[in-house]
This record gives sequence, structure tokens and C-alpha cells, in this order.
Amino acid sequence: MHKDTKEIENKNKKWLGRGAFLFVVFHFVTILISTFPESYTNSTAQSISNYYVKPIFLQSWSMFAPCPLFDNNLEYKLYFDGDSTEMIKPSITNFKYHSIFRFTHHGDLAIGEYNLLFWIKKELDDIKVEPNHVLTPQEIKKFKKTSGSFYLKNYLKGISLNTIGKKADSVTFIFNYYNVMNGIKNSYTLKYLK
Amino acid sequence: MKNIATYFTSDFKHWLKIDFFKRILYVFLFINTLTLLPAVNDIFGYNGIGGFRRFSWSGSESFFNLLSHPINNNHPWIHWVFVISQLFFLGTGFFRVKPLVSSIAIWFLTINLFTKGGMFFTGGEVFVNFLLFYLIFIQNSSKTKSYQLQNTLNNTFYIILLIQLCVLYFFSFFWKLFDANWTNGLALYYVSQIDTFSSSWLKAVFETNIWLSKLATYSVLFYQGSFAILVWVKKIKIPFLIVGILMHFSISIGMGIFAFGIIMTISYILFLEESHIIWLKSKLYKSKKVKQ
Repeated sequence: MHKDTKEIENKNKKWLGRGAFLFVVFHFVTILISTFPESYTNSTAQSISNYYVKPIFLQSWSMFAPCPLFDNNLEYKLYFDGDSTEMIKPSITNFKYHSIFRFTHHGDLAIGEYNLLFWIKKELDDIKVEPNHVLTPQEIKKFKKTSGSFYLKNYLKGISLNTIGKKADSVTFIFNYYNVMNGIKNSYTLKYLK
Repeated sequence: MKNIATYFTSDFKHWLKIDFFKRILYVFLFINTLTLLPAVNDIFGYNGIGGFRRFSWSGSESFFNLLSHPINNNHPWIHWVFVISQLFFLGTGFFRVKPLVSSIAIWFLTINLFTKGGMFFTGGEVFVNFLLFYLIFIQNSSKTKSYQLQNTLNNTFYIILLIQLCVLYFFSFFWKLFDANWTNGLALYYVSQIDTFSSSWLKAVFETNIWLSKLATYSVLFYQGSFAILVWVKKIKIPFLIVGILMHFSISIGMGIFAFGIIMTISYILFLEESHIIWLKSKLYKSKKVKQ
């Protein structure tokens, strides 16, 4: 009887071990299929894998690839109740502290601003807006349909509440981009109404 | 297959390491959240500068995106509940109070916070989400009723943790191969000229020594590309990891992506031997007698 129980236990253990091994293989095969570019896998396999991988195990790890080439910053001026703020450049404060204290929140804020400007530039390029001019109403209309505009609207709400304690009536944004590869400086000016 | 299956059901030999790793990771996350406190409203608030992501109740993803639910618009304290609860559970997790509940709560709260503040973070925070999720399944098997099952889970998720780090490095290397600036060795020179990812001294050093930036670029490529193989070679593992620590410290201090560099360095604990853990603990606790 005792021998039988031990045998069953060993058998269960064996199956448990095999199951665990197969799970690890399954886990990483699906992650690899889902992470490789579509040209390296197969779209059907990728969409099947995504059922398992998304959202918890979704990953890309394309860190710094492609290499970022723009040193960018933004400036803004808020208009409210017939008054306005100065032209504010948030990166000045962030870099002032971040260059000394690497572990504070200023670094995260600097990365946030960088990412915001990255998305805005991508969208402006996609809708073929030329730099170095104030965006026309038609260009603003097109831009408003993009995710870059969605992030910018959120950002505007945040800075308005932070700076003047309420939503601004309008705002002027200047996005500055310096291409570190070819040395070209470009900027875009955007006047937004509430 | 039989031997592999036996590995998964054998007694879990890495508890000392996992326990140490978990606690170091929790300490780091605790400090990281404390450093973010002045910017909590900006980064995690519904009406902060990070704003909100689009929200809809569709699948499990919604549960990681709770801070973007429109209800937060009129309840500006909700993200504070997440932040304070995360700190609380990091404390209970560190002191091993209700470890399973703590690890689930830490993962849930952290993934919600990091998803909400995604614009401000890097791959390091994404990696932490994975680490915390896998760690939920690794618990002290001697304290559970179903010893065999817990033991198998521990071995399974331990190996998953190790492979996950290799996957991270592999893809990080893989994507860089498609970019001419990485393959021609100039990537780190260009990165060093961007204020957000640089410092005045790094900018100056790379500007006047292009060869140095080429050396650094190719070293990063080699390290990331070879990690998944060399980290398993016992003889060179420690010097190899030390090179990685130097690289990640340069990223933390030189490039200013502090959290990312520290997270990656902490994850190296997973590849250490038990003797190294005992040595590290003795250094940390400044005592010759290490609690096992």
C-alpha cells in the first residue's frame, strides 16, 4: 500500500515536472513570436501568441533603438482672464536639479517632456507640417486628430492647473528640436484655444 | 526530458537568493517612490501633466489602467491611495509579513502606477512589472501545505526570471542592429549630445574623443548581444556581471537614467551563487553571522 502511494506520488511528480518545463517553453516561445518583427515570424502565429502575451507579458525592449537624434525642449505661455504668464521653459528647472541630483523626480519629468516632444514631432512629420512657422488652422485641425495632440492637451491641463490653478483660456507652445546629427535647429509654434 | 522534469520538482535551492533579491528590489522601489513624491500629482494624477490614457473596460488590461478611469477626474486623491498603499505593502513585503498578499498587492499597485506614468519612465519600470509578477509565484515552500506544488512553482518562475533578463538583453541588441548609428559606432556620441540623456562631462568627453564613443557603442552592443550566452559560463560570469554593473552605473549617473541602471544592477543578483549572496549580506549587515 505504502509502495503504491509512493509510486503514484513519483508519477505525479514526473508529470508536474514535465508540465512545468512545457510551460516555460510555451511562455518564452509565445513571447518571442510576439516580440520579433512580423517579417521574422508569421502574422497568424503572432496573433495567436498575442492572446497569451497581451497585456501582462507584452514587451519590446527596443531601448534607444533607433538612436534618439533630437535634443528638444518646449516653451509655453498661458493666457487667462485677459492676463498671461511669461514664456515658461520647464526644462530649465528640471535640468538644473537633474544635472546635480540624478535620483530625484526631475529626471523623470525631463524624460516625460522628451517623450511628449518625440510624439508631437512624429505626428507633425506624419501630417507633413513644415517647421519654423506658426501652425495654420488647417494644420491644427489635422494635428488635433493625432495622439500627439491628445498628450499635449493633457499636458496643457496639467501645467495650467500647476501654474495658474485653473484651465487657461489659450496657450502658445513653441517646440524646439535640434538635430544632433546634422546640426539643424527647427521649431514649431502652436497657438491653442481652449 | 526526464532530467529536466526532475529539475523542476527538485527542492528549491535558491530561496536565500530570491529572498535577498526581493527585499533589495522592495527597498529600491520604496526609495524610488519616495523620490517621486514631489511629482506624484504630475506623474500619476488624472489631471497631472502626464494626463490620462484612454480607458475602456475591455479585458484584463483595464485592471492595470485603473488610474486613467474617468472616476479619477473628480477624485484627485485616488492616485495617492495607490502610492501610499504601494509604500505600505513594500514595507510588509520587506518584513515578510503576509508575503503572498504583499507580493500580489505590490505588483498590482506598481503596474497601475507605472502604466499611468508611462510617459515619464523607461524600460526599467516595464522590467520591474515583470519581475514583480514572476515573484508572486515564488514563495517559501516550507511554509505552505502543498510543498511539492510550491516547490515546482519556485523552480519554474526562478528559471523564468533568469531567461526574462536574457530576453531583454537579446531584443535590446537585436533592435539596435537595424539602426545605422548603432552599427557605425556613433550612437552613444549622438545620445551624449542630448541634454535629457547626458551630462556636461559626458558630452565633453565624447565630443572630443569620438573613438571613445565608438568603443562604448560597440561594447554595449557586444555586452547585450552576448549576455544570454556568457552569463551562463561560470568561469567568466562574475567579471562579466561587473562589466554590466559598470555599464549600468554609467547609464544611471552619466546618462541620468537613474532608476533603469539601478533596476538592471539589482536584477544581476539573480545570477549570483549562494556564496556571493552570503558575502553580500554580510557586507550589508556588517556582521559575520548571516541569518540564513
